[in-house]
Amino acid sequence: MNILKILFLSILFSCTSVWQNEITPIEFANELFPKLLSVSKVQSSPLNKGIIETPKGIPSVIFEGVFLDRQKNLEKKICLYYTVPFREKKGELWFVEKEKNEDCVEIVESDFVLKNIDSLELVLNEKKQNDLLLIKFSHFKKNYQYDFYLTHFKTMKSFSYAAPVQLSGSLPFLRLASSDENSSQKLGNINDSFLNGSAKRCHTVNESCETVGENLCHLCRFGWYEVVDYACPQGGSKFCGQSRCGEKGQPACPAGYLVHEISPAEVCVDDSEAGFCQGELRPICNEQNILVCR
Amino acid sequence: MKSKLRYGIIGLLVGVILITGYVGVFWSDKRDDAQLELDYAEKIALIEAAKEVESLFRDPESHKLWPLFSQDCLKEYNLSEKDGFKLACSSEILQCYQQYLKTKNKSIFEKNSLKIDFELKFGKNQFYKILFPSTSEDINVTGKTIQVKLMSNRKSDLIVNLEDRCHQVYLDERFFAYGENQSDKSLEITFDTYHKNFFLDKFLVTVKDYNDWRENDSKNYSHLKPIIDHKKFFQPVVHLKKNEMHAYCSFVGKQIMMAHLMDAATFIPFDLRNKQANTFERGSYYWVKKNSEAWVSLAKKKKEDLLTPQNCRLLFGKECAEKFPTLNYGDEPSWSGLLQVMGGPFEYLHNPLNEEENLRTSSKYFSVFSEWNKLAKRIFWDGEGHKIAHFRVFEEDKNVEQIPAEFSGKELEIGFRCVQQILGKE
Repeated sequence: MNILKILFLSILFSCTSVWQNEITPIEFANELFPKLLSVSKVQSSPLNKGIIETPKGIPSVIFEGVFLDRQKNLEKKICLYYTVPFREKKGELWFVEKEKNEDCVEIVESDFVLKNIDSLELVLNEKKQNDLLLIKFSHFKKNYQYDFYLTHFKTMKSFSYAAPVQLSGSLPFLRLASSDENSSQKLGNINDSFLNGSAKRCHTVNESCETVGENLCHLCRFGWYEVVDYACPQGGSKFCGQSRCGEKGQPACPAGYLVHEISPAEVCVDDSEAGFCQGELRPICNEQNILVCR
Repeated sequence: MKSKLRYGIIGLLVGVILITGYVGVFWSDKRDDAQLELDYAEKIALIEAAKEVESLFRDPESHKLWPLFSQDCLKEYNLSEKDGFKLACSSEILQCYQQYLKTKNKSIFEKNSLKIDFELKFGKNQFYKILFPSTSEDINVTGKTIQVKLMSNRKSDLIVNLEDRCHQVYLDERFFAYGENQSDKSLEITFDTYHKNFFLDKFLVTVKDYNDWRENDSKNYSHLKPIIDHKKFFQPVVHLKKNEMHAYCSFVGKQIMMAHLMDAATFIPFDLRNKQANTFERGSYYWVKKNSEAWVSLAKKKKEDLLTPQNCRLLFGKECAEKFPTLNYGDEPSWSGLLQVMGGPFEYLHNPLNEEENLRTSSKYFSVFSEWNKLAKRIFWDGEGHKIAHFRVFEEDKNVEQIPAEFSGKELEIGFRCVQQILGKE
């Protein structure tokens, strides 16, 4: 009887081990692929530095990016973690999603882990249209390479710089659609007007040229325009809607600060050269520190 | 002996069970992996197809398939061979492409057994949708966007947004002056465009742009109907009132073009290399720096001899419209890349310095030799109609030329364009 019990338990144990499926490389690649498709910012990564060899035996972040969760129309963070193989312990690779402003440094575990990695490297292959992230690794001594398209990455790099954004105005990028959502993040209505105070401010700068809050002007439904309040590298504050700058009661049209060598203190003063007004109207600094035409 | 036999049979049974179990799991793993490999290959195929569509959309003339369907496509829209670039970033180029694929029974992308095609029933009566920032909830739609759905024969799909960024030019960061050259330099009104990231529409808003707006914003301005003649699609739309022009630019997330930016984009800078030069000498024509070099100023030649197609393409004035009524004009760019900047229809502009000068006069309504056919010449349009009564030429000198009486009773053509700022790096 004892022998039978031992035999029965052995069979049960073996079956359990057999049916405890390990994640395969292709499974892992299929799950990771859509997450990386809309990565727009790579915040840290040991890219193009060969096989990752440190820190040995402990998990660390090897890729941190911001991506668009198309289901929720929300930007989130993806953290790719890797434990470098050390002695007889093999490497492990997994990823987690976090809130956009969370740090990846705090390691979070996952049930979806690619185990038994012998070595791994990340390569960013910069191409004309999109960037490719290549993840190369050895798993059970077999070599694998999977390509992940970072379709939004080029876009974001292009938008970072003013002048290099193509003289012809064309931007090579591929945008993948988000799901339409009922709850909208877009700002502004067609009848919003600076005159009656209903225009939505989408970007605020202060006298230290710091952005107060977030710049949300890309969410304006009907475009946006800049006003003259502070002489800042990122421009002045901005409002959603149609600009009627220069007209009576409307903001003065920005004339720039450099050509007249206007110091920051001289920007919002009556009759400042930093703003245009029509005809006999004068640029006057209002109570919100914005030049308006009166 | 019996017990040894019993244990032997049990051991054999256990072995068979274990082997069957391992083989079963191994085989099922293999089939799962094969399926996953196909899934992965399908994902890659959809992206490759999307890139193929996007490259055609953005630059059709450079696409390897363009020579195979360009003739039919250009003919459909009354475009000449050198106007192929006008089809970039349009739904028309996608339609021409789909028509070609259908005729040749081809797919956008094919590899092994995988095929990727457009989902033909994606939009209303067509295989694409047109999205606008004002009506789409997608936060990535910040400009007019064509949306298509790519389908694989394994039934996976991918929705792709193709944003129209082909028809804008970036206005350089430098110092500029407003209006015509002033002999008294103290009267110059100067401005700069540093940190502004202005992107100007290369062309006047077209009939096709107008149609797309009407089809997607039919609740407002319901009296405005689409223009169905394909041959007119790439011509400027010229029958709108001022508030309708503002509404269009607003609908696509832009602003109406401003007079001082138009001056910046059309007067050739005196010293192109020095972006902060304080010298603003400027000529009256966008294709030469000195007026004496412009064809209209060649006094030694007979005026009739000057009216050639080449010259009229630069400035399509009244004589050109009479002599070459079907000429494709306005396709010579200004120094900044802007097109259609002189001649042809009038152009409405928002003028933040002078509300009485909101209409560019350089047009087919004045002689090519007229003072009105120079850069920065503007009069007033009340924006309410297109007959002469809605235009006002303010003059102190009564000798200033009025709009010729032969146009009274007619609807004069007025085009417009838009401008937008793009957010820069903080």
